[in-house]
Amino acid sequence: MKTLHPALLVTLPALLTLLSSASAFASAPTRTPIRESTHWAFQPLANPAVPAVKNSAWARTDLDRFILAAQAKTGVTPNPEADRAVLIRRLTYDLTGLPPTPAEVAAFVADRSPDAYARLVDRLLGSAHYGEQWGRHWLDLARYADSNGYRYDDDQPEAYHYRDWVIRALNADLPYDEFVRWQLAGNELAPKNIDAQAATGFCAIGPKERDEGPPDVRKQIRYDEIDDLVATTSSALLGLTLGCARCHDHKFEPISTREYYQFARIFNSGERNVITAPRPLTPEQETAQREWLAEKQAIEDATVAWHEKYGTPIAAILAPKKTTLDADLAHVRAVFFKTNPAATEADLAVEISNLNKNPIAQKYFLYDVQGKFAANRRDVERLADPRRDFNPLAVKEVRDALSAEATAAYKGLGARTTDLNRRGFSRQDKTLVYADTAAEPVPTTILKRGSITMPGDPVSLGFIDVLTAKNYAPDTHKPAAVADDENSAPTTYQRAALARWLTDADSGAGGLLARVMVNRVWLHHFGEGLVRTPSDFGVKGDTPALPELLDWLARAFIADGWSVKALHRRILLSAVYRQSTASDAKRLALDPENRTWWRRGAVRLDSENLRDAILAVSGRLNPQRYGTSVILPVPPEAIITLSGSPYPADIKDDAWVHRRSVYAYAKRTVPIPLLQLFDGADGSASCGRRLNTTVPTQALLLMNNDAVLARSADLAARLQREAPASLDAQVSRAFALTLSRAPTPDELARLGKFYETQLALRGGDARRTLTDLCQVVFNLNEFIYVN
Amino acid sequence: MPLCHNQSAPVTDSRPFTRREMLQRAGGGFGLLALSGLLGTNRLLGASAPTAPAAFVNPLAPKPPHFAPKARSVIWLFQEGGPSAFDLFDPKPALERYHGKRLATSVEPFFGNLGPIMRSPFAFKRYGQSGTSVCDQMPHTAKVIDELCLIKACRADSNSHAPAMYQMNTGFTRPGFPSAGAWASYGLGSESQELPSFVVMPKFDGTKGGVLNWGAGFLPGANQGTLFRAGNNPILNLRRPADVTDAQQRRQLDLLRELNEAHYARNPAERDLEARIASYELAYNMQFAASDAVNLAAETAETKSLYGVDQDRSRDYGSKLLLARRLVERGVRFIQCYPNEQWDAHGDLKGNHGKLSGMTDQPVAGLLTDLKRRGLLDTTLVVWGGEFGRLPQSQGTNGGRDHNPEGFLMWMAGGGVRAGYHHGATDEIGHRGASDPVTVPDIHATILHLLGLDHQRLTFLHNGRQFRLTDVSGQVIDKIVA
Repeated sequence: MKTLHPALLVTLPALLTLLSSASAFASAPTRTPIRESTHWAFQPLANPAVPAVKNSAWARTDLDRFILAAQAKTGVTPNPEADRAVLIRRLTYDLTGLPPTPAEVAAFVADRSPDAYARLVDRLLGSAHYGEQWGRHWLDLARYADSNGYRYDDDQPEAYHYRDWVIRALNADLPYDEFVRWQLAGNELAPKNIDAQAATGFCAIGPKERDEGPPDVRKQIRYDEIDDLVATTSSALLGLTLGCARCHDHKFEPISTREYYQFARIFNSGERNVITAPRPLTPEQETAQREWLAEKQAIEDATVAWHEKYGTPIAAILAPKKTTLDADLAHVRAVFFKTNPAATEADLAVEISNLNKNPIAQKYFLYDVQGKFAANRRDVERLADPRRDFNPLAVKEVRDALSAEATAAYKGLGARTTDLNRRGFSRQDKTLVYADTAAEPVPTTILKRGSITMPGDPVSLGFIDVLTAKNYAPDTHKPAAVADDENSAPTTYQRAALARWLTDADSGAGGLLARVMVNRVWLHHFGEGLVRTPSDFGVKGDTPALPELLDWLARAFIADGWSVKALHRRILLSAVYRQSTASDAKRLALDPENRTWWRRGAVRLDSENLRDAILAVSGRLNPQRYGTSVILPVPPEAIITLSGSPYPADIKDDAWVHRRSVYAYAKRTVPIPLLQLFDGADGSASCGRRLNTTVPTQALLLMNNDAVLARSADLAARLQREAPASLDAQVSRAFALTLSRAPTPDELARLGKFYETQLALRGGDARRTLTDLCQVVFNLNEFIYVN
Repeated sequence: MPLCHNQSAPVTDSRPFTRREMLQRAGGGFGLLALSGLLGTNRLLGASAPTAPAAFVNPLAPKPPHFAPKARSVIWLFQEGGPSAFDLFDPKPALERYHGKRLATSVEPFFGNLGPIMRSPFAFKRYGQSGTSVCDQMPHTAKVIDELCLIKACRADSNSHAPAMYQMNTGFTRPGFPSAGAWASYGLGSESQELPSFVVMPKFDGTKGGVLNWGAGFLPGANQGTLFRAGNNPILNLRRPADVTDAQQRRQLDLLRELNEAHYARNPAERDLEARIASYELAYNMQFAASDAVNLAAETAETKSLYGVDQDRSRDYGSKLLLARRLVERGVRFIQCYPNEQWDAHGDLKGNHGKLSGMTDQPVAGLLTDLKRRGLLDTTLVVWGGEFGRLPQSQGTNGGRDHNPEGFLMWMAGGGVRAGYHHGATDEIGHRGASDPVTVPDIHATILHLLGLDHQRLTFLHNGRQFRLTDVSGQVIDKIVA
């Protein structure tokens, strides 16, 4: 005999009500899963009716009626709407990750038309910065990074195309189901579409140890890679801790080891790969590329000119060892193939031909490297490696012979080269993808207790039983658009089948997929989710505060064609989102954790938002979008890594690095101190929610860090420029830029008094004193917390 | 190093104590007065630091223990990678006897390719009144062996580094729970008002499992481990910018506090704001105190030599342990020191353990000697051990050993433990516990007990449940308490 779960009993009447009425929603899916479970998250989406409530004057949307119904049970009443200046600051940070400009605040405060707020929401959803802000949230889930992590932490210079795709897809409001399908199987579903290919970066950017060592070790590395894929896919998309079933049937969830290995099998047929495919450039990118190539040529010309000018003493030193290329070809060959194991004779011929045309090589003919100049083995290889340009500063005798002027000029060329390289465009046509290697699936077995030495029964294509309708057949058909193309790469279409199952709201996991996403969007809008464990909807996870609202939102999300922007609108236009932060002891006692959202809680800026906001108000933010990840300066003492591709220690604090933080180069073993200290995600595993810690080392950074001080000086200069009249005008401008409000008379007095005495300590230096003041503003709680 | 919670979200109470709670804990109004007095002190630098106003509540202010403590501070010598018991302190003659033979029972190796039983590559002798066996790689530790209390049959739950590291540090194999150091800090506060209560000196290229090994989890963030480096700049951004004087910065901070307090008064429900206000005073004081604490130049050549600071192989760990002693003198509650390499001897155990012994032996013995002669050993608990141990079988072709979480050795010294005592034993070959086995929660319960805290009473409400370091188990190992 079957019993109904209590949650079902509660929602059943509501469901029947809705079914009998003309609902905007499709009829509630009814299915019998392969395996029954009573856990709430594994049930089909309910179709709750909007509750009838009192206080309907407060409610702006149906969403609010769910909130009011819940509040009626706890006895709390909701807050009124926040001030308009507060609302625009909240919305702008929320949707773009940046502060509103004073002009935007003034315009919104003055706009009394009834649809002013709705138009503001639409403007911000249409902002190109929207995708940067919400893309960052998604990149947390996708455990995005630009290097492979583990011991060697090799660079993955093509990863950024995935990041750019995420930002573009969110800006374009790509339906979430398609967004998910492409990330798992874009290369199978739309192989001719370079964006769909780039989307599979989701499967290719996880941490992975360098593939080397004895067979057992390599097998372990491979299984760890696949485990990351299974864990990331299940937790990010479905809020399930499937990873726990690697070694044994899940202790708490109705998920077996077989289901884990079914997932593993899907990914086991593929591998990460870099494909070459032309990628159209935007006009901005074309200009940048042209400038980049021009600078490359200019550096090469200047280098040749440098050798012309300073090369005579070098040639004299090297003359005894000057030799013909032919005479030393054997050595060149040996070094070339050692450093380029995959190269062919033809490649070597090209290198030698290039070398013969190289004016610097011609000048010195530096091929016998057994001589006395080679201070150490690395120098030997540097000199012998025909791929490398000769660096005269690498040879001690030459270094000693060069004038200070020549050395400085050469170092200047080096700095230009470093600067050029960090902007490299060479990866524009390279895309990181995850692709199968053949049309036949790689056989995969259960590994007993997760051990690669204990293979068990083979598994076939399948998914998660509690989320799958009986008789559901995995759909591995070749898409029609691909079917006729004989040139399409062979693939198993297992990931396409997974993608279809995941987004199938009737017979697959689509209902849960929608619930999890709706909760994530809610979490970022309010600072707390309806389910407080956003990546764990399992038995050990949190139970939803308002289950009817969660399902109602999820169903609306699907009915809206999985439009994430429509979901934002549904939430942002509500009265519950627009509430003030007011609080009182009585309501705090009734609902201390604010689980019925009777007030707005202040939300601390995410680490990226904090950095971007400082850049924005100081006037330094470089709005350039997309492209090669930007290597941010990290102090040498914080670069503690044994990576084979080390993090550069000499990055300048210039316009190139003043890009938004979402474009920062993320090396897994070298966290950016500011981003790390303020609880940024580190790309080690899918991260569904960041912590919010308060530690004195954060204060030390904002007090003492050079970059923060430099931005304070920038803001001071801006204030003097934009509000030259008086100190009060400058303070007012600073408050408008950073806090979106005017200072009170009391604040003006306090800051005025500070300025006066600090000016004396600063020997009358107005700019420096104002810099001190601006730094205080960057440290204000009100700057870092958004009401 | 994800500062990230997927498994259990921090739902409430990511904050320090409110004033009201402080008053309750500290016994009424007197506590507040005492506290403001404490904040004004600067024991090491005389009068250079200004008095903080009484309105501040330091989240790390000292709190009374549950009962009279034996230890005031803990120095945890975390031997990452899993050192082998029977190759260092607990020789097993049976390994000699069975050398080259395959074990009949099934064992699950971490990496596979499990070989036959392998004898220890090291020779042992007995030392001290306790007659404890020590391998020939640890001559300095051998000299102080009677200070050690060996716990020979420890057991952990994971065979994989990161989860095992998490368990040894937080009690849970999953990431995101408060570290033992964070619990100690939360329970007792810090006797230093200018230094963090919980300091970590990590492996220079990072630790498996990353910063979550010393995170505060759902406890107030002020309790999380702060990274210290040896050298001139122990904490990133500790030094003021070159063109900012102390007086200038102090004025900035005074203005900041005024404005932040007014903002907090307008937003009294946001308790994070209060923590952030307090964090600035702590940061300000840290600038002086941390610089002074790490000034190893103040130590005599004899002391540095005692810790092996004058030798290449032991310089790093010796400096860390010497710094640890200086931090203990300044009231830091909980310190973890990781060697710069791991005991993870999958290949060449002889080479690996020989090297690690060379890096750590003299510093560890030096620390115990120095603490004792300064009268600090009685109140400082020293804990030594890894996240698990190693199997008696060989691994690979060059005499390595795979992980063994089922029977491994830790030791404690000072801080109220029975010096020279051996607790428990593993089986004939050192694979599993045979008598008096000890779990990770037992270790944690004992450390808290020695600090004067009852592990069952040290709780924090999180996700609707009272969490503790020892979760649902843990027993104080009474026999090792002096």
